[in-house]
This record gives sequence, structure tokens and C-alpha cells, in this order.
Amino acid sequence: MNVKQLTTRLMQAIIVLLGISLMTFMLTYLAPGDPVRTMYAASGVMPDKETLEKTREAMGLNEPFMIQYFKWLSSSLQGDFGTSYSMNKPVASILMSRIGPTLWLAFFSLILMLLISVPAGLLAAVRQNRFTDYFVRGISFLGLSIPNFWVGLLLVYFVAFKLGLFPVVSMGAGIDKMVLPAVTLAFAMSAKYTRQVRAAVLEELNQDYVNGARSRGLKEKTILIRHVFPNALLPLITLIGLSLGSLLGGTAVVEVIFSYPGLGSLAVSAITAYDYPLIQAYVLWIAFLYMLINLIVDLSYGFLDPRIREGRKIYEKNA
Amino acid sequence: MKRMLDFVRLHKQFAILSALVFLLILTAVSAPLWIKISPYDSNLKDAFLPPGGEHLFGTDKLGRDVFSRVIYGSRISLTSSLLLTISVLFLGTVLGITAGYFGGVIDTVVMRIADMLISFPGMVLAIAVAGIMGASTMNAVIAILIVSWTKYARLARSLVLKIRHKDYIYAALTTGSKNLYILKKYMLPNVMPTLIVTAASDIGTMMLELAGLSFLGFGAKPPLAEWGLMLNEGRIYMMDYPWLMIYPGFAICIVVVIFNLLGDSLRDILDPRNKTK
Amino acid sequence: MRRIINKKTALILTLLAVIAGTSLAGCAKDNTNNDISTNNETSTNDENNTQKTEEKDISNTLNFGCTNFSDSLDPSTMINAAWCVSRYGIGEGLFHFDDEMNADYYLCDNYSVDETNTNWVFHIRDGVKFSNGNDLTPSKVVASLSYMYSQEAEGTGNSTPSQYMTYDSITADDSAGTVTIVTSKPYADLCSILAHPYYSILDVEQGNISENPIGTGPYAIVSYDTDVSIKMAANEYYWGKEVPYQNLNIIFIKDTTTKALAIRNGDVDVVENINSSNDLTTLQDSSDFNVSEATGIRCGFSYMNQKGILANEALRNAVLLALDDETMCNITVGGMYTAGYSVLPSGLDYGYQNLKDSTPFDVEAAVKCLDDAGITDTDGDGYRELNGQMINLNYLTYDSRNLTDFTEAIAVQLDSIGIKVTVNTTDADTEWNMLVSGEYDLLATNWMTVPVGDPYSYLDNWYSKSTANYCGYANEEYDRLYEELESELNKDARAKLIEQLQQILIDDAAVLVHGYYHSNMCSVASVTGANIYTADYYWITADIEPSN
Repeated sequence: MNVKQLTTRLMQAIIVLLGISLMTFMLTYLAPGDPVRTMYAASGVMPDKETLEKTREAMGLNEPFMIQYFKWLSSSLQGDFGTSYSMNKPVASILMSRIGPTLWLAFFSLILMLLISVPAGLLAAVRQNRFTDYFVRGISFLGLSIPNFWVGLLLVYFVAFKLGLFPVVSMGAGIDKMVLPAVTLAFAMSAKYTRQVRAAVLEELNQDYVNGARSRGLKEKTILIRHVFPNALLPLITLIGLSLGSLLGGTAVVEVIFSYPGLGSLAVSAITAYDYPLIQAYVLWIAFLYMLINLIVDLSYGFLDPRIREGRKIYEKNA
Repeated sequence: MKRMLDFVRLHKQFAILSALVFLLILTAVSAPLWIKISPYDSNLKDAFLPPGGEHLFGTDKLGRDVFSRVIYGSRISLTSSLLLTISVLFLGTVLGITAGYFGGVIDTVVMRIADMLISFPGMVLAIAVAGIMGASTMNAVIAILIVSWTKYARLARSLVLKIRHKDYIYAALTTGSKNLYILKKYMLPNVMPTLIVTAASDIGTMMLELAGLSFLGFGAKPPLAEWGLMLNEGRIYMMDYPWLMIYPGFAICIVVVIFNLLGDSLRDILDPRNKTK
Repeated sequence: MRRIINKKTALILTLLAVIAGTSLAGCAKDNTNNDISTNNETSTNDENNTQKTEEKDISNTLNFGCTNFSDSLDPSTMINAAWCVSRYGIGEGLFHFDDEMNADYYLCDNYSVDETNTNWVFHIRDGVKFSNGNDLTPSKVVASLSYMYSQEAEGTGNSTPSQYMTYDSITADDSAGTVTIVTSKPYADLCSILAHPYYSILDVEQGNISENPIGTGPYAIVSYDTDVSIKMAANEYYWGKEVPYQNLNIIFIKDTTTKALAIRNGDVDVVENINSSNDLTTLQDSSDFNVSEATGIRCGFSYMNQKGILANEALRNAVLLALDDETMCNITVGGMYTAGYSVLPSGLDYGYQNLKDSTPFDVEAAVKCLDDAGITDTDGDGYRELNGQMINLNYLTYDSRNLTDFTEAIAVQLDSIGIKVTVNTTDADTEWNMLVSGEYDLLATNWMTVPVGDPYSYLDNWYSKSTANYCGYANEEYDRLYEELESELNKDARAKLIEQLQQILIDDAAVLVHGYYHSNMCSVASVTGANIYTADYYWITADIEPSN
């Protein structure tokens, strides 16, 4: 990717981000809930119409749509995402406090997933169509078909409660509090990745260079570890990037089940509370993150894949 | 008849799975005929009865029969996920083909919207849409539809682009064929097989996503006998009346496993390149 | 090839390291962001401090699990914030409700009032200090009360202290140690009003009130992790008994099942209000836990919209007759409510025992009542019609204190007598909108009946001239008695009037009463004194202490 391509990509990203911000703003604008009433209803006091109107005016909710949008956009660009309706605090600081736990959980469950799926996929590929293969495929199939919230509930019930191994509520982000949510997340992801690893390794095993290596008398193990494995990992990078993106968005269902203080559970409570500023900032943040990761993945792909890298060098010479 | 038998012999796995799906649908459709207790009949005094006796899977908080609710639940899950899959397939195909065939502004607009939708995790957006529109099965379907069509549109578009500039298309155009005719005659048949296979293997995922929304309270509403909702309700009583959570969970698993397997074997048959043998 | 692999591995490792690094950075930021330096220790490294204390004395820490009702702790932002300040043991009022909802002296130890019931003089208890060491002077009390009113007047806060008391002047006499309030109208009992959390006394001139309000209560905030937890420490200046726990963590738990799991799992020592009866029974049956229960002052009820189809009195009567309140309270919601037929809880002193239920559970009577009124199923679809229109009651509810369980149970019971009910579960906000706009037939809710020790503001719901009359109920006799109640200052006479008001509502089948909510507090056996009080305003007190 050269500078020009990079700029185009960045320009596209900015346009998409603008589009997303407009979309979410519109969505929340059209939503049926009335944030002013939400605030009062939560308190169980009945305000009169006049008070409602006064508060609405003070919150700038009576202005035309585009004006509200531009006001919001310009202050967002300065890092001010407004004040959360339901939490009465700056949105930016609320988001910041949730990013840490979510990053940890994402990281931890990715590692866990790789630890499970890479060996399993490799093993299944090497033992293709034998018992191990069928076993691994069977398990990963189940992993894809069991709802993750059910897995989470079963884990809460058996591991946390019956065996008493882990806490059932999470306060802050300690390792012990992350184990169960991470296992739940890793469970479903591993299923997907095991299949991917297996397929990728199988494809590499059918390549000419493997036959060549075999005919040169290299040990099967050497071929596998030195040659097949690194090449098979390549396509995984893209996938991991995508998974990381969705993990960083916070995994609503799992976070809710385990009361994990991450972005996902924040999003769910923001949505139920019609907390517009929070929802908007959250969606924008996720979109930004997702794009950043995609960009990094694309760039790293260029570095990692010899073919693309060589192509780039030739291009540079010509230029 | 003979050809059908041959087909079954050749694709045993597919045949068995199709039979299972048929059985599932049959169970769902015929439920009113053989289930004596209505899933909505309640007797408040018979709440929380454990499995066994008259109530095979026990009863819930309103004294409703869990077995009957689980079976009836298949009607809702099957219809809503099939409806969802078909709508996604339809919307994605139409937009994808149009964008690919006409190009220009239409293409840019459709693909930019797709880009936006793809730039964040689908489930999050689905929750936002469903949450803001209010909880109902239909809104959950719409929410997932909004975030899922992009995949199909991109696929359809790329398939269309492959043949868009082929000579025979130009030939058809110069002989005065209408756009609509070309779309129907060449484009649609070209994209449908791949898209249908994709859709078939997505039914399971769609079902899981719908159940997930219901579980979070953004989908089906009580008193509907819907599995995700039943799990959500059962969760409160998890520790003492675990059957309220176990049976609906199993039901989801079984149905999703069957549909996922069916999708896989369909892919094996129609798209030999992906054969996992 | 080999070099490429190494490069690749190196790159993958770098990528992972970058991710790890950012997560670490995120966490570090997370900690510093939420630091609130305690009042007397100016900004030191808070993280180290808390860690040290934790290591030093883990046994002297209490973990308290509860639902989070407000992310701001500035009592002027909204009523829930005021409640939290009181519940968490931070702020205290001049008066304090006992379990009969009478106001006891608290930060005020003596008061007098003139014969017009408008000129009130309160003597502030001597020797009380805020948790930052400042003295509680009458001026501080005035500053605190005025703050609430000025926030309300400016519209910066949503709390409405003027709802219960309006005043002409409020002045402090620091040398005499008194606060004088001249109210703008006579009040029968201003002390009870001042016991409401709106009037908790804080040192409003110092600190960040929304994250670290400074009160006179047994505990003070150390750090606040929004929507996750609050770290607290004993208030070393506490005026009451010695504070039993050095550290106290408030851990927010969203749902009741998790609360029950958390205490059974040992994650927390005390939890408030587990509202699933089976979880509660399990805890009660175990000797490892203490459970304190109280029939609260909350009434679960459904508005019956008398501007809609429920204007028909026979239909209303039939609805009430068809409902098995006892079974709903004891089985469906598992004893979380005590069944009752009046809008005021049977436990309060407003003559419940003298009231007569005009619609006791009787399905046959309900059917007969409908048939007699000509409300029958004429088209054979299984549902009855009224004036040729199929009855389909639009029942709104929201997820709070078992209300959804009630509505679902009511729906199935009415279905069995041929009345169709469509339940719509929404959020508190939407329900509120619909209530105000009258777009409902039945609407479930639960209210504090005596927020300031008196049901006057609550009974406003059925006073036909009130803006809070959302159900369209009108009865001249009720209006007349209610107006009489406004000016009546004698306690016994008030009670008598309130009793009459209740009976009118019952006779008119004006309200669908579910029952009276039990509140509860559960603790592990190693903790004692974790009691639930009749008034919902007190959770954490200095009475919660280690048992020996």
C-alpha cells in the first residue's frame, strides 16, 4: 500500500464515519423514547408539563435536527461527547472507564481461543478423516450451534455456583473475574477458528512445495512446523482482526450474563435508558475502532504476504 | 423416482438431514393435533412443578406446561428465522445485483451504505435498532435484516461483476433486450446457487441471533412461547427450577445443529470446491 | 524462507504486544480517571493506598451488593440520587423515620413550632462533624437545604424538594445552634417531611458532590467507579457509635438472580432486595445467612383508565372479582408481596382492618357480573364484547419489583373469563408517557405510599382536580374529603379521613391493587445488624457489624 492508496483509504474511512454518525444520530432522533421523561420516570416523581418543557429546552432537544447534529459533531471532534442522560456524567469519561475491562476481556479470550483452536485445527488437518478429525469437527460443530448465552448460563450455574470456583459478579477487571466470560466467548470463537485452521492447513498441505519438501526427505513434522503452519496462519490474521473488532465493541450478551463492566453491557443499558449521547458516542467509537483494525490488518497483510510485498517493491521501483 | 433414489444414495447425509428438517417442520405444524395442553393454558396454583407425570418438562411460573411451550416454540423460531433468511436473501440479492449491473451512482450509494453497516459488529447494531424500535419478534427480524443484507449484496454484486462485461451480455444488449430481461435471464441464475447455499448455512446463525435478542429482552414478548424469551424467563429461576432453562436451551441447540449440518452438506453438494472430505 | 518466518513471527508478536500494551494503557487510565482524593488526604497515589489498606485488613471490609439506581450522588440531580446518598450511609437528615414512619430526632435534637404551624425552629445536635472534619453548623444546614431549592429553581436539578415543603425564609443562628424555617403554608408535621432524603444534610460547599458528597453518615466515599462499584471508608468523625468496618465496598449488581448467586458464592456479604422468592427461601433456610424482611410502604397497583373501556363499572368489578390475589402474591411472585385490596398497605396505621373488600376473589361472581351487565360473547370467538366491540385490554407494565409477573398472571386469569388482555412490557419511560397521555387500559406500577410519612401526595392520584389524576377517576365525595385532608392538621382526624378515602376507592373499583411489597436485606452469618427498615431510605448503617 503506498501513500496514495493510504490516503484514499483514510478519506473513505472518514466519509464512512461521517455517514455512521449521521445515521446513529438520526436513529436516536427518530426513536420513540423521551429522555427527559426517562430521567423523571426513573425517580418516580411526577413532574408537570411545564417542568418537562423547561428541561427539554435546557438540554437543547427542541432545536432542528441538523442544528442538533452539527452541534454534536463539532463538540465531538473536540473530544466532548456531551453528558450522559442516565448517568449524569461526561460520556467520554464513562466510555474510558469501560474500555479497559473490555480490552482485557477481548485480549484474554483471543489468546484462549488461539490456544484451543490452533492445536485442535492442526491436529484435525493432520489426522484428516480419522477419529481425531471427526472428534474435533464434531466438537467445533457443537460450538457453532450452542447459543453462547446458554453456555454462559450453564457456566454460571455449574462452575461459578455449584463448584464455587469463580465469582459471579465482576468488580473491576481481575483475571479471576474474566475467566468465565472469556471461556464463554472463546468457546464459540474456537469452533469457528478450528475449522478455519483445519481448512487452511489442508490447503497448504496440498501445495506443490509440500510435495517437494517431502520428496527431499524432510520430516513431516519439520514441514508442518516450518512451512505449512506459518503460511496457514496468514489468512487467520484477517479473521482475528474482525473478531477483535467485534470483541472490542463489547459482547453484550456475555457481559450482561456475567455482569461484566464492559462496553457491551454499557451499550445495553444505554439503549434501554434511551441515553442518546452515550449511544451515539459508543457507536462512533466502535466504528472508528473497527476501521482502524481493518486498516492495520490490511497493512500487516501487505507485510506478511511475500507476494503482495514483492509487488509493492516493483511498484515503488517503477514509480 | 429412480433419479431421486439415486440422489439419496449419493448424498446420504443430505437426505437424512432433509428428513430431519422435514420432521422438525412436521412437529411444529402438527403440534395442535397431538399436544393436549395448550402452551398458554395456565393454572397459577400449579406453578413450578418439576418434570414428570402430566407435565413432561414441568411447569413455569404461571403453571404453563413447559413441554408444550418448547414444542410450540419451534413454530415461532422456525417461521421467524425462515422469514428472516428469505428477506435477507431477497433484499441482499436485489440490491447486490442492481448495484453490480447498473454501477455508477446506485452502486456507490448501495456499497457505501454496506460499508457503513459492515464497519461495526452486527449484533451491537441489531440491539440498538431492536431496542429503539421496541421489543417484538417482527422488530427483531427487521433489526437483523438491516445488519445482515450487506453480506449477500456484496456476494451478489461480485458475482454479477464477473459476467457483467462478458460478450454475450453486450450481445444481448445490442439485440435490444431490456435490462429487466437480462437481469432475470442471466444475472439471477448466475448468482442464485451461491446465495442460496450461503443462506441455507446461515439459518442456524439467524436463529441464534434472534434467540439472543429475545434473551436480552429486545425480541419476542411474553406470553409468547419463544425459546430465547423462555431462557430469559427461566434464568431468574435457574438455581431452583433449572428445567425452565435446560429444555429451551436444548431445543435451540438441536434445531441449530440440524440446520447447520444441512447447510454444510448442501454446500458440499452444490459447491464441490469447498468439499470438506 | 526461514528469515521470512522469523519476520512473520516477530510481526505477529509485535501486533499482540501492541494490543496488550493498549489494553494496559486503557486500564491504567481507567484507574487514574476514577480517583477521587479523599477529603483530608490530598492527592496521593490513590491506587497504592487502596491496595495497602486492602492488604492490611481484608477482614475488616464489608462488601455490599445492590442495584444501582443513580450514577450521580448529588441529591439535587434526581430523587434516586437523594435516595442513594441516604441509603449508602453518606448523608443523614435532621430527622429519621422509625419503623412506624414516625420521625425521630437525628441531626436535630430539639424543635419548636408556633401555633400557626408555619414558624419552625430546629436545634442542631452539638458536636456533629462532616466526614471531612468540618463542624455541622446551622449555617451548613441552611446552605445544604438552600442548595436543593436553588438547584430546583434554576432547573439544573430534577429533584423537587418544593413538592413536599415550600418556605418563605430559612435562617441560621450559629450562636444559638438553631435553624429557623418559616414555611409558606401550615404543615401538620414538618419533621416527617425533613426526614425525606431530599433534605439530607451535606457539606455542599466542598468537593464534587456528584461523585463524592460529604455527609455526616458512618461511611465516606474513597473512589467511585461509575456503574461498577464504590469504595468507601469509615467516617472517622462519625457522631454515633464507632463505625464497625474500616472499608466498605458497594458493588452494583443488576439482576436479582445474580445478587442471590453473589451472596451464596461469597462475593458479597450483604445484598438488598432479592426479589425472587425461591432464592430468598433458600437463603432463609440456610444457617449461613440472615434474612431481614419487612412489609414496606410500597403498594403495587395498576391504574384502571376510566376514560377508556374501563369506564364501565361492571367490567371493572368483574376484573377485580376474577383475580386471585392470594395465589398471585404467594405463588406467582412467591410471597414477595402481601395481598391486599386497598391502595394503602395493611401494615400502616390507616384503618385497613376497618375496610371492607367489595370484590373478593370469586370467578363465578365475576362471570355473573359480566353476564348480568350484558357483556357477553356474542360472536363466539371466545371473548366478550361490550357495545359490539370485542374487549381487548391494553395492559402496560415494566420490569420492576415483579410487576411483569403480576400482569402476565392477570392476563391469563382474565382470559379465562373471556376478557382478552394484551400485555405490553415497556420501560419506565414509555410507560410514563402512556400514563400521562392516557393510552392504556391497565397500567402496572408501584409507588411509595408515604414518602414523607403521610399518604397525602400519593392519594392525589385519584383527586379529580389534580394534574396527577391520570386515570380519569372522579368521585365528588372523594374530592370533598381530599380537600378536607389538605387543611386538616390533627393526626387522628387525618387518619380517619384517609380511611374513608380508601373505602371509596375500593367501592368504586377504582384501582387494581396487587399487594404490598416486602423489602428484604440478606447477609452472611458473619455479619449482623443488616436490617431492612420500613422506610426504603436506609440500607447501610453503623448497625451492620461483624457478628461474634
